[in-house]
Amino acid sequence: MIALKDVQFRYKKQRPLFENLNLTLQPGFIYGLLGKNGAGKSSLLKHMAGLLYPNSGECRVFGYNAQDRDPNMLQDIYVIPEEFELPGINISSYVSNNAVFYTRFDYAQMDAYLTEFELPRTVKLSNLSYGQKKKFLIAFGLSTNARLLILDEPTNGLDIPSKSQFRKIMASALDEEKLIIISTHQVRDLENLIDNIVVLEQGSIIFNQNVAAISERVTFEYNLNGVPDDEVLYSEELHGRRAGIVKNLSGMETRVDLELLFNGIVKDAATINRHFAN
Amino acid sequence: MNTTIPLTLVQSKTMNPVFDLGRLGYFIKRQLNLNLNSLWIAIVSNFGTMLVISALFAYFNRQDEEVLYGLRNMYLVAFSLSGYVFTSMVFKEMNSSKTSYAFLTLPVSKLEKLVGAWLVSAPVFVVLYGLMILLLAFFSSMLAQQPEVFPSLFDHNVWVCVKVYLVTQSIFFLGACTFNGNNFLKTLLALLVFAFIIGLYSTMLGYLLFNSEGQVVNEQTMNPVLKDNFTFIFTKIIPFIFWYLLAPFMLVVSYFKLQERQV
Amino acid sequence: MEFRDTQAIYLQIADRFFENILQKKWISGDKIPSIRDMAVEFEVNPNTTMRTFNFLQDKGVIYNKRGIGYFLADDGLEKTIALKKEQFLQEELPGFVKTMQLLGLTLDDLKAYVQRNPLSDN
Repeated sequence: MIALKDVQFRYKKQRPLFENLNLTLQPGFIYGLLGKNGAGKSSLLKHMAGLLYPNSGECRVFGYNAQDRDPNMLQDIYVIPEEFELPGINISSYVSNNAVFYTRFDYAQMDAYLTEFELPRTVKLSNLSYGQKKKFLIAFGLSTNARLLILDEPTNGLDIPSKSQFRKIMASALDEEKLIIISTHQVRDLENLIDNIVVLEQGSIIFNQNVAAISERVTFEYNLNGVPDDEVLYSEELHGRRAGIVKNLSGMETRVDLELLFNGIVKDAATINRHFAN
Repeated sequence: MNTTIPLTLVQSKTMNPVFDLGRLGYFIKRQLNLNLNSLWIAIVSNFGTMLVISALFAYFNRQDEEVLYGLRNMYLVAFSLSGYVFTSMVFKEMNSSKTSYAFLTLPVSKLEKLVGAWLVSAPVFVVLYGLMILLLAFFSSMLAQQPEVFPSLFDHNVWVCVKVYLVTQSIFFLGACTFNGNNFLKTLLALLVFAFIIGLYSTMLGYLLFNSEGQVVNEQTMNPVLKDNFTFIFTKIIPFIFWYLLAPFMLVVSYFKLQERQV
Repeated sequence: MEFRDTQAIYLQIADRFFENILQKKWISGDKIPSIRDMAVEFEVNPNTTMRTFNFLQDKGVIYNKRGIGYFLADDGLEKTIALKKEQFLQEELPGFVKTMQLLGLTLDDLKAYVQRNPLSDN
């Protein structure tokens, strides 16, 4: 479990990024961290990995204070950042030098992923393409069997078949003790993979709901003609029609449209949260 | 993909959170293997350059014992300089924005990261570079046709040099923990600034203490109590600080720097 | 799998199950793929396919043998047909009728059309 309590954080000489940020994440789910550019998604993820320290408040990961970077906590965390560099050694050598630090590392699993992703074992990692490097890190990260996986924009740089492979592998990797958190602005890539939506805006978490709860409480309509105004929680122009988020009164569940949902939350989180609280 | 991955319900083995010898060994192995290419390049270029210089000097100054000592001194200078540069780069992974996350989230404790990096940059470096010097010295004394000089090249001066290196490299070690990139140059700069401030401070202190009274610092005319104090400070306290306190102090500060380190 | 825009994903996956059942790819007593396998196939969160399985279990289409997996119920086909009929009458027919009204078509027009162009039975 991850618990951020009253976290305040600012980079040197800048206005505060997080003010009294509270967030609790439970294992067994894939969390999608959404937010506008500059909202602090990456910084929030870095707090969870103990890479940034809150100015006040605390961030606990599996009971450890994240900033202590206890090796027992670290072997349960794997981070795949958006920007990274890999050393000039081949995959086999990388694995034999790094896997030992993870007591639950599964070599057979690693082999299966490498085969699935068609990654060459003998080519220097630094010579692989960005997408291949990313796939390698995903394979390694999943094989560590770390309970917390932190992925910052994982589908960036992946081609269309790789995105599909990525979704399949994530779907197979989730179990009840894993906690996967993915920050993304390419919502469409991961729409059906994410089962909890967390929205970060102006220094705090303004929305945190399960997809099942969302589809029970609201529906997403692409033609609001004839829908009474008091049932509409948010609306926008889409292809000349009014699309929007509507209170789900019929019990008929629609597909959760993450883009529409995100726009609605950013525009007026209070209205939507009030509806969820009822 | 149709292979289902079994649920891992087994709790991971709890490791010693502070210090584990096995993990320290794996860490050192990792650090060396991940940088193997640049290490080889550094070793080969260092060795090659000195080999060429040694060959030229030894060959054209056969029978001249002094040249062998001169070459030996050159090896020692190269040893110290390479050592400082190498020490400055020992946390390179941590000091680059694209790799620091990997170093900091590696499940190895801060103490192990510190001890591992120090072992590599101090004793391991000394032994490896020492072997290289041994080879070079042997080669040049053979080429200069004076094999009998070879053993005497490793005199007291060599051991002092090694001891001085072991102490002073801790300054560059701290620099490696503290700065983000260009650690060697930044450490040098910091040393210069530090020396400048100490110099300025002593000058001002001297001016306040003596010059205002028109007293010239002179061993004969100096106040005997003051002289004893100075002798004590310069022959006892400062050497003690240098040999026994400086390096441990630098390493402790380095530990705190590692602890504070964020991306 | 390309999902349509309107219906909740777990229901769209349930529809795929219904197709398999109606096309007799799965017959009574068959063990059906696991929640995880289905999640991988459809590239969705396993918690979503779990909702599909729970939904189908509630409707009596599939049943769970603890520790072994999910199986198609003996009357799975009949239940599926009943469910799909209900779904057709409730969800698709109203729109269909509305379109007919808009176009001024009558049921007799349709009958005549079907008799002229016999529909293939797939």
